[in-house]
Amino acid sequence: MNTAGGPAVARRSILLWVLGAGAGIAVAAFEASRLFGSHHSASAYDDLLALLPDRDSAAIVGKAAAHLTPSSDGDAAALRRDLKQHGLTQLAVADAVADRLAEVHGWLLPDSLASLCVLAARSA
Amino acid sequence: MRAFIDARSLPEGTTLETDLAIIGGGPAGISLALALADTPIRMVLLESGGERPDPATQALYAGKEDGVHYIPLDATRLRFLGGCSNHWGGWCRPLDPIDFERRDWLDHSGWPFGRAEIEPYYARAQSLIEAGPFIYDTPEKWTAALGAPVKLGAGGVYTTYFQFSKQRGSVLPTHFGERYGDDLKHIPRLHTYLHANVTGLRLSHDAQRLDHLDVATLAGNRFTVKPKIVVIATGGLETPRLLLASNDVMRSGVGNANDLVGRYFADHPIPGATATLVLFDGVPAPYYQQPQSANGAWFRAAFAPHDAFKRDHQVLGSLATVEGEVQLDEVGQAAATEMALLFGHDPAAMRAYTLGCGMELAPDPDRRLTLIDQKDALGMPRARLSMRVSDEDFLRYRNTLKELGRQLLAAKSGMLRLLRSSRAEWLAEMDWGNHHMGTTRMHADPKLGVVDANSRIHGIGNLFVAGSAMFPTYGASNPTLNLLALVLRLADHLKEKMR
Repeated sequence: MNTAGGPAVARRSILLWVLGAGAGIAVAAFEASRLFGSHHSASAYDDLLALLPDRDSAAIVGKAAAHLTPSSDGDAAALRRDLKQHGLTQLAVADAVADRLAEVHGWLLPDSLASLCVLAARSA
Repeated sequence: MRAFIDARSLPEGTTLETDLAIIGGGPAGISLALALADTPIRMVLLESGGERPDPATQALYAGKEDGVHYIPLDATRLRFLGGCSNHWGGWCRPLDPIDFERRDWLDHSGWPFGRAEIEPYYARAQSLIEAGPFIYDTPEKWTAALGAPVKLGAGGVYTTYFQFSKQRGSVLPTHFGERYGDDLKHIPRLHTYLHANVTGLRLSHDAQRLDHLDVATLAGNRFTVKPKIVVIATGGLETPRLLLASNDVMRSGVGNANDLVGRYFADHPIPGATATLVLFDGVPAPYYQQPQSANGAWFRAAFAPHDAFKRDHQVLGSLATVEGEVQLDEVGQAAATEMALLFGHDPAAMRAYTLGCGMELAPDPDRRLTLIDQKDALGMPRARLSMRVSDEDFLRYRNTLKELGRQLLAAKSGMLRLLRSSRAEWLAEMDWGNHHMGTTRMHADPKLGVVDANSRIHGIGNLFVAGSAMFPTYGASNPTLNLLALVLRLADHLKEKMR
């Protein structure tokens, strides 16, 4: 029985165990961030996009609506002003009442929501 | 009780004298005879077919179609007792008041009178088609029991209702020949001739009166009917054919001094799936998708534009029905999810449906029926139908759909996808209502109409038309109920005239 090699083997095992655990934690952290954290790149419109109930769905709609406004920062600023005043739900209803509708892939959408969808697509 | 007479058994050269000859044993002709049953008027009803369909008789309807694809002329109607009621769906709805109005933005529009003129006849017409109580557009009578209508924001589109003809209990719909055959046999002064084809309207030499009718059978015998008054009730395709073919005195055809007979033909286009309707709360009340029975009536809901919306936005009538459930594509699923969440609904509950539609066409003088050189088995010239639909007709209906979509969003209850934009898309799955209208249009001015406000052909003292051929503007409603109201009004006029 080689008693002299005992402590060296134990140290190696502990080191391997620590390295393995560290790698596991790193992978888990990465996956958790992918699953639960924001995966959208930062944009100048994040305050607006936070109002969307489902940003991923909005991005899909926005991709089909790339031809629509907002085409400029000015449009986005106006949208920001309206949203601050009314909130998205109320603004969407007000758009419908006032016949401010956009046609996206045939779908009739309130202008305000369609604009946010475009921004969501650009920021995706 | 007097049995029907088989005209093939009449001796060659027979002349029948009568007070009133009714040409055509469809809903209009049968209803006119029934309406005059208690009068002293002696009547002859001339029906081309028998009591059952017959290929040789049906072939008399064959013709040609050009332009926008239309149903073959020998398939879009039926030539035996009961006429087109033998293949109708039983859908009924009165015309809207605006349908009678002259509209500056709609060329050739307007009737010589308003809806109030035929309003008193609707209840009896409703009774003839056995559609139960006349309760159109009074939803409170049934929605409480079966569920509320789809919630719409304020605007131009509303939920309206069809009622359905029913012959017995839940058997839909009324086939006039089968249903009223025995009643016809019990009218003491009526002789009904089957297999009797009118091949000519023969005018007096001064073209002021109709003198007699030439009648032929496919068995080869021919005979004559000499009536005091004639009513042509052969539908919107055969009525102009008969008038145009009877050109021995008036070279352009009977009643055609102003080249109007056969023009302004209309039907109701049914352009397939025109929109996708998403309802955030899921399933609509059952009367949107299938006829439901309540309060003694069968009814089904549709989305229609208000008259005020039609007037303000220059759109025509349309009736959009909720059809089968459909799956959404990726963009649709995303858009509907986003809207549902925004409006506080659970996206898992939402459902999507196809919207079908019957829509009104604008009057068009070049959508017309003319005669061609080919002859049928009785020597009558066959007809050609030149069918047209304008882009404006589609655009008008699309604008009504957009209004419906707007109102759904305003109510936070649903949303709409428009499925057709280009002309090719609109025409891709086009079907038709088999509602033949307009070819002997009604107008007080003989230069603008074939018949006058009493359904009499301008310039000819004793020749009348019954049926939807007289509709100068058409509405989106199915024509049977409305044409029967006009027939009953004509019956009153004839009673007065023949007193």
